[in-house]
Amino acid sequence: MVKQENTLYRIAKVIAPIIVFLIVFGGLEWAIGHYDVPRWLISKPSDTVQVLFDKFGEIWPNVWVTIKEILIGYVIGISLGISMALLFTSNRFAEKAVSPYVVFLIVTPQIILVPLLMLWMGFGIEVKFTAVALSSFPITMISTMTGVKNVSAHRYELMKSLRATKLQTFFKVLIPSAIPNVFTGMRLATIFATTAAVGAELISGNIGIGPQISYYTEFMQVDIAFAYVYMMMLISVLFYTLIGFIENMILKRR
Amino acid sequence: MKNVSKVFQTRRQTIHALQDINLNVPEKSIVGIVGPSGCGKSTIIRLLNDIIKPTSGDIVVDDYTYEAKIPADVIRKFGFIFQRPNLLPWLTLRENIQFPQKIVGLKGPEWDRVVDDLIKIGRLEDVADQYPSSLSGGMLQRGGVLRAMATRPEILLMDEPFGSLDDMLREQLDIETLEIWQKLEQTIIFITHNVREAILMSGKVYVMATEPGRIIAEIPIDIPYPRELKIIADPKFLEYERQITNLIGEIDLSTIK
Amino acid sequence: MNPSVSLKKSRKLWHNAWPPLMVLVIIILIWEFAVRAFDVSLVVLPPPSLIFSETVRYFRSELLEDWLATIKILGIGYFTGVPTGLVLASLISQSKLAIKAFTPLITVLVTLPVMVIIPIYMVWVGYQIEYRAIPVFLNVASIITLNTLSGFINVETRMLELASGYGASRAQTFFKFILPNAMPEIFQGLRLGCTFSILNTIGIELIAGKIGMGFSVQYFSGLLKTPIVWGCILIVGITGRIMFSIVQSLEKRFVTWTR
Repeated sequence: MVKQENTLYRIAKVIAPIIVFLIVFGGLEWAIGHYDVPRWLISKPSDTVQVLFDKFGEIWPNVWVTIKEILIGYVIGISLGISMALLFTSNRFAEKAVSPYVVFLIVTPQIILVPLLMLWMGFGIEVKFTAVALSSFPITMISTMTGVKNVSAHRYELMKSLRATKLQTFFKVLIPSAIPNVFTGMRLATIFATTAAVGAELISGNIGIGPQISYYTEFMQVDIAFAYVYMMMLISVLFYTLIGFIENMILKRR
Repeated sequence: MKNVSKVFQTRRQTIHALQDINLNVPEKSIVGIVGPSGCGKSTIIRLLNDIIKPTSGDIVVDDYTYEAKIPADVIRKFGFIFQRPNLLPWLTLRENIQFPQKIVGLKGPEWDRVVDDLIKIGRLEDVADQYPSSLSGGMLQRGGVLRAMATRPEILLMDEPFGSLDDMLREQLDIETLEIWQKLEQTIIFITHNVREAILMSGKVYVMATEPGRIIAEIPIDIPYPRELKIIADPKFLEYERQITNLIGEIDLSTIK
Repeated sequence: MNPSVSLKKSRKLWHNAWPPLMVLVIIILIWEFAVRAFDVSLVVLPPPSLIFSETVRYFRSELLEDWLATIKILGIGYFTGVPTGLVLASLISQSKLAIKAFTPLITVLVTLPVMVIIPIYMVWVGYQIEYRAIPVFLNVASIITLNTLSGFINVETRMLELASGYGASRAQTFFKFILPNAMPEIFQGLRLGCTFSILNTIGIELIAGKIGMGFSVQYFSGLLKTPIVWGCILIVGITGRIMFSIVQSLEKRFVTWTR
């Protein structure tokens, strides 16, 4: 009896989120049809998916541009964030000197720099991945710094009693201890990266997901604009879950 | 290893953490150091393990006197056991036990065998490939003790190794440590605030007092090994316990004055 | 208070404050000197002194209005988003199945860049400024929901056993055991909410224009008045820092038991 309930519950656990999504999109579909909302205001999910398949050849190159911006910027941003964090925490003075400003970096949206970046770099892809890198860097840095600072003193004492070299302590204790925090930062950084890419595209540029959305909205082809929104939704969720998945793989055993 | 003696006197300007401490630790024996908290027990261990340096005085191991730099072969003679097991969560129990070998640079099948033997001695074969998060407190403590032995140290320094556990579990682990000691025959220097534990383990007990940290008595424990847990009810044992408890108690009263 | 204690305190404060201050002063001096010495174009990088004087000059006449507009959107979005998120998380956390059902949807809402729908959204609502708070609200609410929910879920089972051992009612269990336990994670969400609400407010202003600090940055950089652009960025940073400090001081008051 109990076992049966368990299997039932297990099935429910899998189905429940799917039902929630069905209700959200189904409700949208029904409401748009029922209230006869004009096509240039919003498009039915079914129409959007249809357009997405029909025009995929045209949509994909733009999506690919955005993905490239995100990936290049993200890799630069997190590498910068992790190395800066390790640099600053390696020295007490440096840590004290920069830590008040790190918070400033966290609360100042880096996309505000996009207009300036345009003055310096023009309208190319460089502006976008610079914006993405600048946006994903602070959160990774602050998380890594927290991780490094919270390494238990007992672990250092163990290394000291073994007469470990500084390098050994760094690679065998400090890095593995800080890894969970590094991953938290990297996972959050994906959200900053995707937001920055789209933001930078909408502010400057003519290729990529953002500009396409504005273009098709302006020409009242909202279904195509929504197709791009769906693609962006897919990219963001996949990116976030991918990093979360790697995180779980590595930390699962602890 | 021949006769080991350690002598040091420590004097700082403000705090006399330790004053004129004289310890003589014979080879392959267990020496317990017992005293109230704050008497500098842990300082002794850290001095011995060279984490901090004495202000004055000498520490002699095998006729070798501690100086600024200790040669690697002397360092390898020491193993350090912490108050908490302090295992690294990202390594399996086996990897944790092997960890000191990796740091010191001991490789090869003979050292792998050392780890296997230790796991067998600790009766941890079944859980050796699990991560610390899935092990019980007692297993973790045993893992911590075995890790200190991975480099085949001749001298083990234990700083209240089971201090965070309840009495029952601690005494059980004490007995297990004794069993391991009889198989491997190291010298053990053992620090505790628990009088019973000190008598149970040691061939000789040093009693310490606070302010300044100093040794007030040296009591050889004349109970033959192997010892079992039931000796704590032995009249000889109880007599030692009374004697040491009184020594610590008197000092406490005299410092209150 | 004992004067020697307060002296010690201020000395400690100073001890912690001088390295960052020194770094700031050195950076500003080098910046000022380098820009003047190498004759860098104002468009590329204006000297700090000019940034300061120009920003002060424009603040009363133009920037103040934009700043207030930004604060308004930020404030409405954040202060409606936070309670919504807290209530939603509390409701969802009552059922394990509901947690499973809604977590993926909330994750999608958290990860989707709000800015992507702004062009379409502007067509829906026109250029009425207040409507800009709605995307900010949605974003903040979903982040707060996600963090609060994970705080509720991560309450140790030991705690729950303790609660049932005391015979606590469902409401008591929630308010006396689960909620206090989740506080650190709730505040982590509140802090993330600050960051994201500012990010989205500024992003919307950059894209939709008309008014706000984001718009000012866009506008003045179009006019090549870079000193004011830098001034605007600084003002946004300070605004964010103040918002963050308020949340941090609340955290210190409510979460006293962690370290």
